Amino acid sequence: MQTPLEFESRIMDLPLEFESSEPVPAQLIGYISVSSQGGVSVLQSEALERAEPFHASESDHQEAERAISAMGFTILAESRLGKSVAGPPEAYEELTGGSLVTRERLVRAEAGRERYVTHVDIVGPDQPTALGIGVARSEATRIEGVILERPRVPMAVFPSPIPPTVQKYHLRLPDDVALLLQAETAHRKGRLGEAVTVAMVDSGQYSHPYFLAHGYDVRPGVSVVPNTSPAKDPVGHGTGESANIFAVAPGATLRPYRASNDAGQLVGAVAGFLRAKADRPQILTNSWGGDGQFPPPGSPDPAERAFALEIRDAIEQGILVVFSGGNGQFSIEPQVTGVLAAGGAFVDAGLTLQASNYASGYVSPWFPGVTVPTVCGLVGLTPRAQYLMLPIPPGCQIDVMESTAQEDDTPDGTSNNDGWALFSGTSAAAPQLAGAAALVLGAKPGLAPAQVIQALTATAVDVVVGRCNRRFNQPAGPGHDTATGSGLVNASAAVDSALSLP
Amino acid sequence: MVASALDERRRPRIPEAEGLLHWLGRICPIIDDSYIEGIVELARPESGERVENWLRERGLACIPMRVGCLVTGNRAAFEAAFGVSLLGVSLPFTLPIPQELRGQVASATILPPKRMTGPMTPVP
Repeated sequence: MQTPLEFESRIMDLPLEFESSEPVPAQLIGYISVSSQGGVSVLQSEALERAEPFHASESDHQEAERAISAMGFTILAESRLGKSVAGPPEAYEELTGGSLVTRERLVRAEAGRERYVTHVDIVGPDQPTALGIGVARSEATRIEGVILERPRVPMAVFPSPIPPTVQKYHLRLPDDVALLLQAETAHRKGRLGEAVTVAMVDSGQYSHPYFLAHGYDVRPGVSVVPNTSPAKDPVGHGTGESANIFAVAPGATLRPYRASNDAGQLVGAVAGFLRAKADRPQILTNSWGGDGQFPPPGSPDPAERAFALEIRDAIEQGILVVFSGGNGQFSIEPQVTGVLAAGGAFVDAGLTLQASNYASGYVSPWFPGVTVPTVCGLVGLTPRAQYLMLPIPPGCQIDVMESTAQEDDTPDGTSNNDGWALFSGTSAAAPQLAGAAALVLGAKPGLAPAQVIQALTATAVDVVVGRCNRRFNQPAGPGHDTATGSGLVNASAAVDSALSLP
Repeated sequence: MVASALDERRRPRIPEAEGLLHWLGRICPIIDDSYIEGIVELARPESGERVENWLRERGLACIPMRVGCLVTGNRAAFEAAFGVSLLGVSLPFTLPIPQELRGQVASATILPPKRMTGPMTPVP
C-alpha cells in the first residue's frame, strides 16, 4: 500500500528521498534514550500503552550523563526515560559509531504542499534504516540510542525541485518534453544516453535541487572568464536550458562551461567553446551565437571565418557540435557544414504541430547546401516563447524578467525569486537535440557526427504548418523546408535508425 | 487605479542594478573592461610561437586556433599591447597591427559578446 506521498512522488517521477548536498549542521538537537528497566529498548518496542517499563534507573541515568558529557553533548532537558541533548556531529558519531549524512525527503509542509525537506540521518553497518535514528555502540554507556530532532519547515529545500503550477499553457520537464520528442519510448527500452558526455557552453550551472532530485549526472563546471564561479549563473540561461538535455537523455553526463561575466554577458563564448572542445566530449551544445545583417553584405569577416574553422575542426575530430539556429538572429555558427542546427516547432494543447514563429529559418548564403535549421526541438511562440517550465537560480535575471509583464506579454505566473520560469527559444531546442543525439550515441557508440545527424533528420516528424520568425518568414510545408528543416526530432525512431546501421 | 496599473504593465521595463549592463548590451555590444576576446589571424603559420610570446609578454593569454589564436585579457592590457583606446568603440573592432607584428599577423579583431538564444534575445 503506497502512502499518498509515495504515490505523488511516483507519478511525478521523483524519489521520496535522495542524497542532499546540504552540509550537516554544526550543532544538532537529539533525544537520548537511557536503558529501559523493562528490558526492551524504546527504539525497538511497539508497546506504547505504558511509559513505566521504559524508565531508567538512577544509576543508569548517572552513567549515561557521564558518557554523554564526555562526548561533548550539552544536556538541555531530562525526564525519567531520557535526555534532550545538543551536540556536534562528532559527538553523535562517537556515541553510535555511525556517520551523519543529510538527505532530502518529500514531506507535507505548510498549507498541505509537498516539498523536499533536509533531514539528517545516522548511517553505518549497525544502524537502523529508519531516518534519523542511531543505536549506541557500547552498552557500557547505558544508552539505548539517539533520535535526531526532525527538521521543521524552515529547513525545506529551496528552491523546490518541484515546479510551481501556473495558468499559462506550458510543458513540464522532463515528462512532457520526453513524451513529445518520443524519447520516452527509447527510455522504456533502456536507452538513456548513458556513457555519453555532453558539454554545454553557457552562462553557468547552478546546483538546482531539480537536478539532484532526478539523479542527473552534472559534473563540476569550468569557468573561462577570470574570477567567476562555474557554479553561479547570473542569468539562469545555462542552468535552465541544460535541463532539456536530461529530459531527453536522463543518463547522459553534463559538463558545463561558464562563459559569462558577472553581469551575465557571454563575453567568453569562443574561449568556452575552445576549452570544451579540447576536453573532447562526444557532444558539444551551444545555445548562443552572433547576430548579423541578413542577407549579409559580403563574406564572413576574418574573425567569423576563424571561429567557423574551429567549429569545423571539432566536427572533424568526431565531436557532434550543436548550435541553436537563432530566435530571428542570423549567425555563422549554425551554418557551418556539419553542425546540427536547432530550429523550433511548437506543439499546442491539442497536440497540433506547427513551425515556431520565434525561431530562425534561412538558406545559408555562405555554406553551399546548408539550411538553418537542420531539425527542430520544442520552442514556444512570439512574443517571448514562454513555453517550458525550467529550473533556474532564484532571483536570477530570467527569474525576474519572465515573472514580469512585458508590453506585449503577460507574466509567466511564477514569482521573481522562486527558481523557476517559463522560457524556451532555440536555446532549448539545441540541448534537446543534444539529448536526442546522446540517446543515439548511447545506443550505437562510435557513430560519426554526420551519421547521428542522418539518423535524426531521416526520422524527424514533418512539420507542415506555420512559418518561422518573421525576419525570414519561411513557410513550413511537406518534406524538408527552410522553416523547420527535417521537422521535429523523434528520438526513439532516430535510435532505431542508428541501430539498423551496419 | 486600473488605468494606471495598465499603464505600468505597458511601460517598457528596464532591469535594475546588475541587469542594466546586460540590457545595454542588448542594444549595442559593450566591452567588458575585465575580459575581452579577440582573434588574431596569422599571416604566416610559422609565426605562431613568436606572436603568442609577444602577446603573453604583454599580459594577454592565448589559446591556439587553426588560423592563429584567441587572445584574452583585460581592456588595459589590450590597449597597451595594441596602442589604441578601446573606450566606447563599437564591436567587432579591428585592432591596428603593432609594428613588431607586421608581416606576422594578418588581422586582429575584438569580438562582440555572443548572444544567448533564449529569452534574453529580442525577436526583431
